[in-house]
Amino acid sequence: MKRIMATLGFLAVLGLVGLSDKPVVGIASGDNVESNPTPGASVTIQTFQFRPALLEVKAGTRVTWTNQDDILHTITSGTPESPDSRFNGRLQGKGSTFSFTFTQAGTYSYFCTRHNSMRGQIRVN
Amino acid sequence: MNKMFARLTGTVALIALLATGCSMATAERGSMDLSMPRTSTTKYADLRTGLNTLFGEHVILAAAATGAALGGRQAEFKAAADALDSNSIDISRAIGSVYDVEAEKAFLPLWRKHISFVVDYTVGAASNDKAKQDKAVSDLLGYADDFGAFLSSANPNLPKATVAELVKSHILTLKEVIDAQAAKDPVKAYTALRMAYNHMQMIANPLADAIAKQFPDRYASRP
Ligand SMILES: [Cu+2]
Repeated sequence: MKRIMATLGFLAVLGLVGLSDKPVVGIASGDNVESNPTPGASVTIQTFQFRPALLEVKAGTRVTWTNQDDILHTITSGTPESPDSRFNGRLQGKGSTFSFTFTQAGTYSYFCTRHNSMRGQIRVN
Repeated sequence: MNKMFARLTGTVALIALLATGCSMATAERGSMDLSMPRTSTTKYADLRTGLNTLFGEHVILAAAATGAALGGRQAEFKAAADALDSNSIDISRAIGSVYDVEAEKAFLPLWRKHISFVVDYTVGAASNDKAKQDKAVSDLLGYADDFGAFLSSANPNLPKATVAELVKSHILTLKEVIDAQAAKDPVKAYTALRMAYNHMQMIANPLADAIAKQFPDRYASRP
């Protein structure tokens, strides 16, 4: 029994190693920011990344996400730590889309519930 | 006596050769950049052997970690787990060197995720929790589809279903190792480990081929 507990302890450490991946999407970096003043704007999901990871739009812009991966991703408002249920789109597979219109200025975070390291932001001006 | 000496010399020579090979592999891996321009015509061979080294190492280190955990050897477990994570980072860097840093960042958490499911399975094995083990296997098999989707998205020469099947085989061959370790059957564990290790070339080689096909200019020496 003692050994089992010890084993569980070690495995928790391994779990930490495995799960310690912090959000790695460089949403603040300049090379992955797109400004789009037009009423429609788009984000592409490819190889488990939101592209661009940070999209800047004007208030009233309808943003459309298109999944280019052959797997289910979600567009879930908030962060894995605190989803805020503002929007929640399910993009079942390649070619599927989800749209949401941002009417208020602010910075909106979103992520994929199936792959928590997939994170993006929409900055509404 | 002579015969023995000859054998001994041969062994020493072999060990020296092995040591050289090891240090070369380490040097190569420390700065692994699979897209690095090379003056020789061995870029494709470098890619292929580089991926085989990394994926083979993954299985060996994973088995070392689960074996130490199931055997209650804490310090060894910690070291193996750390080494396993370093290998995960190296694999991600290799992906990044072929594609880009964003792909590298997306790949690492995905890769680490399957390791966390292996941990779940091992915890289940350690505590005789069949339900936990079943859930981990199901998570791992589902994960194979995600992994297939990632690679096929990065490289159109890698069909999602094919990659998923190869990953499933990886999971099942590693599971054999863990089951034998949990059953305290070292003979079976090491036989299974050889199988699991050998299977990794089934992933590394098609991956190298598909990358060479995707970037023929970079890996021009592909036969
Ligand atoms: Cu996702």
